[in-house]
Amino acid sequence: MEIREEKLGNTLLFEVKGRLDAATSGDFEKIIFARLEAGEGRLLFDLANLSYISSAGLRVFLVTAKKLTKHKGIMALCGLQEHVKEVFDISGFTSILTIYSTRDEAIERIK
Amino acid sequence: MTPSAKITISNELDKIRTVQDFVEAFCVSHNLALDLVNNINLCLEEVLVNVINYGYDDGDVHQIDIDLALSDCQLEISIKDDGKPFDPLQRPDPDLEQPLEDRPIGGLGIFLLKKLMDGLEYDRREGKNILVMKKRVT
Repeated sequence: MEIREEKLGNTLLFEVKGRLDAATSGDFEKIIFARLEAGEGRLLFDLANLSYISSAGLRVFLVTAKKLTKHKGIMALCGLQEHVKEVFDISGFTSILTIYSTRDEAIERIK
Repeated sequence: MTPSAKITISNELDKIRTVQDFVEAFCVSHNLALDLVNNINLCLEEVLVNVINYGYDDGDVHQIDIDLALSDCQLEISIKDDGKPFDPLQRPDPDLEQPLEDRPIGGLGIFLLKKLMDGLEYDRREGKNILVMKKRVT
């Protein structure tokens, strides 16, 4: 797992690469929580290079979305690969999280 | 002859990746599709995480056996551990209609397993949990 961060206006973009599994999701969570602590309230996750996600990774997105909703923040995801999208669909996450197909669309919509 | 393979790991989380690489190599060598490999490896992770995190109280090293058997129409994966009796199939499914605020944090792993596999069987024999996962390959 590898994360690149970029500030786009008042939105913090995370490019997540590789795998979000039982071994890597703890580190992923730590990084996101640190940004939330630092006051970031608008997060966009570009998952175009995420090749694998398990329930451990899903959990991080769920917890983050819950925290942000509580504090009137915004969280969106984009670029999900087919296999990753299938896992989100089965888990019912496609209906409770904000998901766009491309990064451009996401940036346009959450402005 | 039915192609088969077997791998035994100790009850440590970082061994899950070893199993997944082993399963991927087996599937690739038998020309199975990559999205199928992804689904199988996801299910393996969910089962093994449960066994390793919740199966043992004694702090000892335990062995977990994973057997693969491929027939014309399906791949059968059997996971055998000597942890506490645990039948994942008895776990209730999460309520997917709940809004974000009410969705519980856990319980998705086994649900994914039920949805992604074509057949699941659990048995407790001679002090061991035996979970068999079946996936159609044609």
